[in-house]
Amino acid sequence: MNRSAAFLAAIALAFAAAPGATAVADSEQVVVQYDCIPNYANWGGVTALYKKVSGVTVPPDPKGSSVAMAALEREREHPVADCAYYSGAIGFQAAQKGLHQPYKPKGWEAIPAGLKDPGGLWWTVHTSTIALVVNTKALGGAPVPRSWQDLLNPVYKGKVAYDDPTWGGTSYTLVYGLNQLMGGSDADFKPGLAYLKKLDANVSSYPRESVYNAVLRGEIPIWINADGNGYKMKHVDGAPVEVVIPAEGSFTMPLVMGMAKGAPHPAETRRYFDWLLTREAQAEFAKAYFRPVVEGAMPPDIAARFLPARDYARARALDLAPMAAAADALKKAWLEEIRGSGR
Amino acid sequence: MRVELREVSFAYGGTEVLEGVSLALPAGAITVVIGPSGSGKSTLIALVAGLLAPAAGSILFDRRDVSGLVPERRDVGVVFQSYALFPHLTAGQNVAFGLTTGRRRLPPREAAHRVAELAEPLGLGHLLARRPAELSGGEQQRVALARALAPRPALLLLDEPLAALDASLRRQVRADLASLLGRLGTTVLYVTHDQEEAMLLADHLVVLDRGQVVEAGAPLDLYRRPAHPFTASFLGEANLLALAMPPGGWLLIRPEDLSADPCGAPAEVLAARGLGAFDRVELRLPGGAELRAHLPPGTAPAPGSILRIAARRTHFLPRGCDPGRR
Amino acid sequence: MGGSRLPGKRAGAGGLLPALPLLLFLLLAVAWPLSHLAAAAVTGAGRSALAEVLSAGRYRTSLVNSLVLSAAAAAAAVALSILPAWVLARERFAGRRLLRAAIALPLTFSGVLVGFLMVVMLGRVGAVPVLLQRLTGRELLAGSAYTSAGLFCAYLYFEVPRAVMTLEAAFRRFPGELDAAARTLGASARERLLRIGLPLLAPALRSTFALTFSASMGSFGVALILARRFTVAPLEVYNQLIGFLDDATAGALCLLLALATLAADRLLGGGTRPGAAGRGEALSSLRARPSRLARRAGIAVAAAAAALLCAPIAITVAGAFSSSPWYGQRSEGAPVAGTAPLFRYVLGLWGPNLLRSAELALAVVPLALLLGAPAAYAFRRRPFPGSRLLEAAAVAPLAIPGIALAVALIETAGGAPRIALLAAGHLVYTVPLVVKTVGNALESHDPRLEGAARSLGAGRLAVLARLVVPLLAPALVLSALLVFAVSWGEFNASFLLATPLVQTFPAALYLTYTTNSFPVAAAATLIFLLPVAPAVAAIQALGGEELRRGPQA
Repeated sequence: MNRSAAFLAAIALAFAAAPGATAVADSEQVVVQYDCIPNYANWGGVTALYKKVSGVTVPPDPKGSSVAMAALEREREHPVADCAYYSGAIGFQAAQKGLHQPYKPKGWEAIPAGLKDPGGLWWTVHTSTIALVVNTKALGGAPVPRSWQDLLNPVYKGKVAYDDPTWGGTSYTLVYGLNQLMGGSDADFKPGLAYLKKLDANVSSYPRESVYNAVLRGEIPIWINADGNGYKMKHVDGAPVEVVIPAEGSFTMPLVMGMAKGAPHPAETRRYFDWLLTREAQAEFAKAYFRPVVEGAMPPDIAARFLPARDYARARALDLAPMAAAADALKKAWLEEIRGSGR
Repeated sequence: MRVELREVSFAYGGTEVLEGVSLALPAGAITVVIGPSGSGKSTLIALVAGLLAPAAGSILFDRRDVSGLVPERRDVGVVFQSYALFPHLTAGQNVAFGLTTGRRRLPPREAAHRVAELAEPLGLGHLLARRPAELSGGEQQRVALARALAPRPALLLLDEPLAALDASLRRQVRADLASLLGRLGTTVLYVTHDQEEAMLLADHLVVLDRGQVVEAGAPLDLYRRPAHPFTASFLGEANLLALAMPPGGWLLIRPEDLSADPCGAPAEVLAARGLGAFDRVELRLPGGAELRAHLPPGTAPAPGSILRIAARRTHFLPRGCDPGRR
Repeated sequence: MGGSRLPGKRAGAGGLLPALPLLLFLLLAVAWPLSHLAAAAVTGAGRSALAEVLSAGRYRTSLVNSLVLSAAAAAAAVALSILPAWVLARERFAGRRLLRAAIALPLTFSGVLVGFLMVVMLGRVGAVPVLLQRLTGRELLAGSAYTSAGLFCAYLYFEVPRAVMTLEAAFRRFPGELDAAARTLGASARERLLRIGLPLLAPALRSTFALTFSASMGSFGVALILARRFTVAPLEVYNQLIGFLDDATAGALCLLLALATLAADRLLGGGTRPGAAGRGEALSSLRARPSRLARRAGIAVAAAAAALLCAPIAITVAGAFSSSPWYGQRSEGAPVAGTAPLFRYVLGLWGPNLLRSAELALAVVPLALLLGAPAAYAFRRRPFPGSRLLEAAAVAPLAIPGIALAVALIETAGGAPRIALLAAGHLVYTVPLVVKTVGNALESHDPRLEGAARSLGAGRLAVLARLVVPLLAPALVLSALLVFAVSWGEFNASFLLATPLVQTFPAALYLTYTTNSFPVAAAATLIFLLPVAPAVAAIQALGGEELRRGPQA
């Protein structure tokens, strides 16, 4: 009989423990942000600072822009996320799908006109530029590529990577932008895809997660991603990394926030959004070499480490609306063309 | 083939299973090794078959040391206690198995002929196409025997082959087995714990206890004139009366050698039961010793009465050594 | 249902009551959500999706890739496992227990961990290419983890332990006397293998193939990490479900995956017991003497297999203690030097996940026992009409891909607290283990014992408390350990059911592997292994065959 009693007690304890622990977690102040990758744009540092400042936890989340949007879509009936962070085009698309609720954080006026939704459904928190992030040591003697054309050189076989554009918004911007650059249009994806198909011969993988550390380790010598990541690798982590803006040109990319419709913690989310536009938060993003959207928030020493302005003259902005409209079709076309053989 | 074991020892997991066992199997005769369970009988079979290697000692086939010879090369047939029939082959294929292995490669027609030759006297003719699972215990046993005999081995080993059969079947099969083995002329090593079987089958009898040979000899010799008390009590019901005065020893009186005698000692009848073929009576002698007697059926007196009893034959076992020790 | 007949197997509805919780659970957590998902697959959109999947294109390629790789890996795994399994089953030698535990440890690894270990060995800067670079000065095998060969090796990594465990169980039951009999009849080793061994073991070999084939067909975690340059079916299911919200295509793929797995199981599975030859085991308890060379070779192969399986783990563990400065340290915001600070940092990062996994395991273990053990008792001792079907249904969920179950649960019960959905997911994959383990134990106990107790005057409850439960105690403990090990390592369903607030430790491992640097990942892996290694050792000591149905890869 003693054994049965002990057994029953153990079960009772188990039942009591589970909801108890959950209750503790929920009573903590928390904001759930989809796409909150710690070493992308220094979200790790930003959320840590926010916790120190306000006591609210924003847990990490590995979803890429497209995956975040899909998750919001699937959870429409029972929202889990409070907000999401996206590459501009995807955020635009998400707002169009009715996944966001409007909110204009404090400091709204400081955001330039083209970088926010007039209704408050999305707004830019910082921007960056698509560039080649090159781990020169891992190149193994090959020269640093200077242009998109250079990248097609067989000497870079197996050394190039860019995120899966059906997962991450940065890569989607890249694919769309390249198509525009190579002479294509919203109706014609062939030029861009043709280039990417040729590039595919040199690509080692299309990661579906942040490969920041893989680049540092030398696993991926050439990563086509945000320039900020490259600068951070060079100046913060001390890695032999060079950032290259290709000769033919590149694209700037706004990175946006949107508040989810039916967010479980709306009050905390609004306070969080307000804070993200403060000097303090914006300077924290600058530490990762992502350009704050608020004027003058970039510390001068960090600004000095960027490539000269003439390189950035080659980077143009892309229209968010057509980019969002073409998203589904272009992603599917990319899948068919590049991964279509199922390789 | 004459088989000899010289000082063979075997240990398993730290315990001595066989200790310094020496025995000889006369060529062409049936040697029965009898002993209680755990005495090492099955180990003996395994050693002679080559499935185990002795820790010490040697095994000789016709004066040739075969200790290093693998079982496949020894000219031995084994009937296992569990029969070990191959479940995925028919009875006929089981029997023919040894005819197509190793160096022997009988052409199919000859193999079939040999199988039929063996199946006949064992009454297996109509069962050859069946799988072992479809056969009864007795049938399986006969298939196992036929399989072991098919390659005409010089030595046949049987490990308690009747243990799995029920009593009436056992009696029947035992008789058949005795006549069959007698006709074969192969050297046979037969292992059992059943005394009746041993007495019926053995040309030469070896008594084994706790891994050591207690005694060996002709069955009736061992029955009537054992040298050890263990042999005496194992080979049948025995009355062993210990002699109190030096030099010690025992007097062996078999129950069937006791009979009612007006000039005999007056013994109190403790219990009596008619067992059909004889009456078993428990008696107490005036000195206090208790005896068991087998009296002709229907003659046993009622318990509590006095019966005058005399022994027709006795045998004296000197106290030379402890039972089971050398 | 009453009556004074000798109880043993009593047909009737008396057994339904203990099995009722299990029935309800299966209906709620498996049948209802999955039928919802299946409905999507068979509606109009679904049928056209099915056609699209089967026609040429990346979906069909992914299915073909899965089939070919899985079949090849399964065949290789079975072939490689025969000798180690035989040696472990039938030979006694020093270090046998350690060897067995070493081979069994990977059974608890989720697919992401296996993928990570492959990257550690064969990534662009993996241990093997680095070593080869030092030795030969050339870049060899760098990045091979991400090729189909790398995925093949990963499949082998989690299939060989499964195959070895399954075959070992079958070999242990192989009647040694048959081999002895064949030897006395003059058969050489080759002849014995071909004419006795293989025919009798064929059923076990076939079902082992089916088991390992299913394991890799459904493996998702591994594909997530390694399948970069090509695709396999589970990955496509994931993409469709997560990226494109295309339930129809995902459902079609899941359906085909499930069909392939079921077909393999039907055609090949179901026989791990070689036929019994007869009664009595006098000689088979003695070890027949094999040739020394064969024995030594067998032990060597088993040891080599264990070494190959443990090498990546050893390298990873060493990495956790390397104490050298690591890449990404500063940008991860915590310059950390030294082993203790590293572990503190990792615990700070993933502490909540660790707690979550522990809390889940604590809840899932008793629940799984409560659902599975009474039901197993009912199936074995009180069969009722339909009990066989229910028993098969209880074990069938093991074939359902975790991602499919997760999505099905979210769709049908999205409003429920995530922790409950996680618990349900874990239960789906652990209750079958309890049913099987307790069922096996019951089969080896004499059912007449209970009748004897009843005849001595014990009431039904007393029989349970004083006879059945104590007799089943080892099986219950073993089940608890198995459930713990599987729940601790479960990734596929947990990953999709996770939210940033409610995440298990394997999901954290995935994040670590993909975003953190190597020492952090290594330290996290070590923390994962700490509770599970002793659990596996205990399971091995108790003879847990069912561990081979460990977490899906």
